[in-house]
Amino acid sequence: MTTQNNVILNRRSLLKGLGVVLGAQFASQLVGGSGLSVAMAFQQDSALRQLQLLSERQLKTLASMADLIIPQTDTPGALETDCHWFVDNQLKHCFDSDEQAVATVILNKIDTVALGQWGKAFYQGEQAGQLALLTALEATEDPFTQADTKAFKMLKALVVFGFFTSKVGMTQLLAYDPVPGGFKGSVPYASVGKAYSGGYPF
Amino acid sequence: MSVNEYDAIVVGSGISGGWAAKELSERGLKVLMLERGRNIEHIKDYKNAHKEAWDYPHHDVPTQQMKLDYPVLRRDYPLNESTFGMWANEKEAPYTEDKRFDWYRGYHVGGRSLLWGRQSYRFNEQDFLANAQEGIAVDWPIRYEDLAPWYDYVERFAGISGSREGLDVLPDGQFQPPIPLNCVEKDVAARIKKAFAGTRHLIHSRCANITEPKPEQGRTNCQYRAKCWLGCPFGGYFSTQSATLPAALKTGNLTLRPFSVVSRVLYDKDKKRATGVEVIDAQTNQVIEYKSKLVFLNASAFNSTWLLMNSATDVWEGGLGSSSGELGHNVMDHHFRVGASADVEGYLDKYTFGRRPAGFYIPRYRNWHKDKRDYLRGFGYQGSASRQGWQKDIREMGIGAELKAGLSEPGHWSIGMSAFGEILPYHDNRIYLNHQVKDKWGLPVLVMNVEIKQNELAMRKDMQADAMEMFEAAGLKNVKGYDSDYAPGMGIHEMGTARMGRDAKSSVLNKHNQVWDAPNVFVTDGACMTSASCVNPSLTYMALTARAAAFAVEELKRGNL
Repeated sequence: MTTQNNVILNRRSLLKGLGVVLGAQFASQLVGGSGLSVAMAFQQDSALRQLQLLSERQLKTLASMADLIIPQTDTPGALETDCHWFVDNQLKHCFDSDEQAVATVILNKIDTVALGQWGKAFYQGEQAGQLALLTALEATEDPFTQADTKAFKMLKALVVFGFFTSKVGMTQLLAYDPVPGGFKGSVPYASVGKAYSGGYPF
Repeated sequence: MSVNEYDAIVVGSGISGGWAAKELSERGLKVLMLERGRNIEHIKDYKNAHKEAWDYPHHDVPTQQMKLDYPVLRRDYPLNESTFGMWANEKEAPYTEDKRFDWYRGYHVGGRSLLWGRQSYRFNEQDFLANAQEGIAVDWPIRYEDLAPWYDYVERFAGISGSREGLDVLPDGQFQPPIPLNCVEKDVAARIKKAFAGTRHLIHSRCANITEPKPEQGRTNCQYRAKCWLGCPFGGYFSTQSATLPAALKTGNLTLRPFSVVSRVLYDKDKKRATGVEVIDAQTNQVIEYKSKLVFLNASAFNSTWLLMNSATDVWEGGLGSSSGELGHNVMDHHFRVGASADVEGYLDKYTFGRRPAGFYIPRYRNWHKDKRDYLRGFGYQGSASRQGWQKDIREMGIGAELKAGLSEPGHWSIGMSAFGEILPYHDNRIYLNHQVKDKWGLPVLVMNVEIKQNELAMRKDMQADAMEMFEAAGLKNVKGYDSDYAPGMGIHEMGTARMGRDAKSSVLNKHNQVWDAPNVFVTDGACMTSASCVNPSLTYMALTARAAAFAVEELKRGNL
């Protein structure tokens, strides 16, 4: 129990740190980024931390979502892999304008619903409330529509893709073996104990 | 000899071009191999061979800009970040379509030998007889027996892994040990064998990934990384770079010239012989003539034919080899993207080790022996069974720690297979030159006018229904048939357009792959095919090329060329 609370606490502080990070892209132009190294210690590559499609607010919403979709447990979660930044970048470069609109509209709606229910932004909400809201969204409960649920699942799929194709996802969550060297058509599952990384297209 | 003079010129450096260069240079000829694209050096230039998903800016997903730049490639799976730059630049080298044709080209040294599926099967005796027996197109000028020793020869060198099955429909070859089936595939194979009384066989794929090292070629056996398309630093599969090119270079007789767009075969109408080729340097646009006694066209099926069409037009309006009226005609491919998938119960305590570059194969059984259908020819299946990874259906798993844990475990086993069917050689399936549209070098481009017809459409019904029937007979659950539609070209097995035949009136090439109108010009890539069989064709190109090269050198020595 204690461990779990600590994990949640760590999550919360990470999310608070995000505000610093979001300002960082502007601040770094002034201070060269070095002074921000502590705040960014968990980030992988500052070059990838430039807003692409989303607004700052939308990215914060997405970050909170990513943290709930794939939380830190005994292994790192989506947030540690910069998954929200990956999704923003992916949306900008790999999706057409209709799909991009679907993504931004649902992010806005999640925030609007949160504002109506709690009087504050989604990313500022309590984790239990955030979880309840996303659960209602995935189950198409009022005030969410089927289109909203579909849009959420697109973002969820992107978070999952980004995470399980990240270095952390592929090497820590999954069984990673860059050069197996041989093939066996049957081994005890217990000898592996988790799913393999790789497979098409890797 | 002057610097621009050789014994033989090989146009193209892919699977068949590499073989031509190797065979001709090993037989003592001074050979010039011309490649329109850039060089890719073995190992050194496989820049993505050790990258993982996270190393690509978009984790290997194509960007919108890539889709804009590659309107053809985007139609199917080949467009991604890891193989980007390994496919022909569509802006520099366009083509036009009367009917949709997906043309996936590798314009670089090695061509599609770096990007091929590596499935390697022999044609059978019937494949060479069917046209004549059924009154389709023209008879092959050769029989299985003519090619069998050459299949032996190329299999031993290339390294083909597979199992000897004793099936007349899929002749055995000189195999290395097969890549194993997994536990589910073995059981499904046994159940299919029982359910169909030994008339249908689920066997190991036969593929050009080696299971034993070839130290004489500096090649290590397959390491089961499943990254073949990125170029294999171990030489684990056959490619020009891993196998034929080093052998050819070792002779000291080969000159390789990348960035060389061959614009025409030079033809002496008095001697009725080619005298060489004209090259446009792809980077400088300089036009250079190279002279030779022999010319081998291995530019890939359609480009070899394009080159013939653009040559000797002062003698024949339709180009060299057009006197038969068959140049550009009888386009074939393999139609596929139809089959079935199913869930496999149990085996949850079992998993596999290593990422196989192959799976299983079910050879043709339709219109074979006593079986008779309402269409001609047949199809085979390629497939595999596996446990789903994190890509499994995430939609029902909610969010949070449970989702994360769930995706970190493999899912249940499933199995799937797609049929690959023979396309008949129809005269009106053709390619021709479009002089209104020019490529980057001012050369006319090809027009595609190809479709599948009634025979293929009737076959596709069996291709789906049979797959479902076999999975159901094997006791599998949730059996689902599919037909994802097929557009000509998607098989990346384009064949025909300069077929072999028995006379100059009905074919472009004779039984030794010589152009009837210029016997020192040989075409030994997919263009030469008289029919398509249903098996993957590259191994047959290798055998035909080695056979033709040996003949060409003999003829040269005899003073006949």
